[in-house]
Amino acid sequence: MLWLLLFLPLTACLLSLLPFRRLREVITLTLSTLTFALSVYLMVKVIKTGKVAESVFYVDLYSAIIVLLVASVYFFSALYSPFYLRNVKEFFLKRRYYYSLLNAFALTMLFASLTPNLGLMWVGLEATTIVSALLITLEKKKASVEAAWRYVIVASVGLGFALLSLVVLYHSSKTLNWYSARLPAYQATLAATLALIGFGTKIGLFPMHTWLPDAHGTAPPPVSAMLSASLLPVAFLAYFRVFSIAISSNAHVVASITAFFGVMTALMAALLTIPQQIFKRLFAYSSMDVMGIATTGIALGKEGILASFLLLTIHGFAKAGLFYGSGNVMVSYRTGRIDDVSGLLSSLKLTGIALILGSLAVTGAPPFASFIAELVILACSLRNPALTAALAAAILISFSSINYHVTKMTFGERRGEKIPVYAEAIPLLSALIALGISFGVLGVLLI
Amino acid sequence: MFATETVVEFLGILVILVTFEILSQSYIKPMVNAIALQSILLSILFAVIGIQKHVNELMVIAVLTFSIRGVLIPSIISWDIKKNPIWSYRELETMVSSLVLTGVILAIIGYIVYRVIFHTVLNIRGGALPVVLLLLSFLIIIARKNAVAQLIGYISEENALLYASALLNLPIILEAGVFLDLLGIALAGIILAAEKEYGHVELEELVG
Repeated sequence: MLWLLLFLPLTACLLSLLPFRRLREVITLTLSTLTFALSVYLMVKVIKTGKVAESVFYVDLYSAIIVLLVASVYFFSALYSPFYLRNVKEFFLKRRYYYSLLNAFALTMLFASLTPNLGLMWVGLEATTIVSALLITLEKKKASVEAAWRYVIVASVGLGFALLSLVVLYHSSKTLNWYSARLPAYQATLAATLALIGFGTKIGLFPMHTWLPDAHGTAPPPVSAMLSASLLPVAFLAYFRVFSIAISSNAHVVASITAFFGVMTALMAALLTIPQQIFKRLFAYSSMDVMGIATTGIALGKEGILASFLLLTIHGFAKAGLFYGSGNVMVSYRTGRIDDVSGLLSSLKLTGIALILGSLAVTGAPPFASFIAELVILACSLRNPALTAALAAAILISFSSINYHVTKMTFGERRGEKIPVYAEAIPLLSALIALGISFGVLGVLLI
Repeated sequence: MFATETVVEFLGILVILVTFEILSQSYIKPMVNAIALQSILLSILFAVIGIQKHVNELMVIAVLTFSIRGVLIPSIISWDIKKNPIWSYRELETMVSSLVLTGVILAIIGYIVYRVIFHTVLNIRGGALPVVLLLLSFLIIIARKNAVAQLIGYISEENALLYASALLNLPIILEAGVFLDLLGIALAGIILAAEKEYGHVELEELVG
């Protein structure tokens, strides 16, 4: 089954090279749907049995959550892409390569999530950089090329640190498998600190986040959704594995370092959401904010870890919806600026609702489960009042700022042009899944 | 055994000296020649370690290093330099003399960092050299103002990572080498494609 999860996007990637446009769309959509269905089945199996191990792959609950996120955003992006591509004026990357690269992007992320070998996980993440950088350059805009360049350069420096971390880890434990690696505390601290810098660059942690707003802000919306909702969690999973090795090797200082960088990221990102004028950059900083909170969460014990993965799940679906909604707004209003958009609820009603739901979900408002997740992380941080205060400030600032900007766009006089209903339904469906999962979590907690 | 380790160390020191040559250049063409030389020296180093330790992956990495980073990517850049006159200009914004001095200080810091932090963990002969090479490569990427120079910094960084991996027998060295090379080719591709679409890429553009 786990091989099939890779075989489907690989097949889609190869078949998408065929010179038939409609066929590329149909193949990508069909095989991404099957991948999504398979990831749901994997999740159910993992919940029942605790883990699934097949040949060189090993999946526990955390990997299964990330696989589900990657597969579902892959499916939604495949669904949304035909609409957006029809509205792209000029292509920088040849259009015929788009679907092949989109499938390859999903394939590399799934591979990185399924393997228990940290070295191969690193290889998978390196491959995501190559593929996603090319996808960022899809539209003929100089800003996109510059963003892709900055992304590759900064990410490659980060991944260099991550490889050094693996060198230290392997030299001390003689294995790269996360479930069996154990090493002395000093070596574990060194490996985890290097991994925090390395994988932290891909997660978007401060101060290595500089590539993130540019890349997420200039990529085409279906790609931004995959970058934000699935690539960041995949990198997060890689760091989480090294972090867990360090903690089980009694390197407890790593938890403090992780919490520090996590909360600094959340605070910095929350402050940076205030002056934003471009809505895709606003959502990019929001992703950075959530990743910061989740990173702090894993440093706060078992409850914090569960809350972090719950936060990532809700964020994934909601943020994908926000980026597809952004694509609709860009097509309808022909602008990316917040100030130039108003009256979404009257001109693009479904998109407006999706943006409101999405922004509430990513900022941790009830009834979304992200509210519970943030509350748990805050409660776990109470042993350190300074950490709690900084975290609470970050959550409050990002909540006020992001919802203020989105409210400005959704209310007011009608300005945009109509777009097809199916394009409006995709972001709403994605946001509603976040709401559905939230009610499911609430139900489980109440029972 | 002693002779092989001495050769490896000697080649490592040559690689560091060539990296200083890259740092000291304000013209692009000599930088390209220097990075080709650095890669070729490292390919010999990988082959020597591969033969000494009987590791076939290292022999493949030696061939890849020679062919892709020693010949292919420098040839692509050289071809582009001939075509595009902007690359023959001197990079005035980069203060080369202070950059070399910064490089020397960074090399000393790299050695101290290795001795204080890594040595107790890794304890390998010549282990400080890849750490110093990595820091110098970061300096090239950060300090240089143009895309081609940053690509050269990236190739140097890749060389440093593979150097460290080779010294410590990292089992995924082959996979790492292949994907790092693919990323290097993608970077070269972005520069060429950007020039094709937007004309000559200015020196200060595509800053990482």
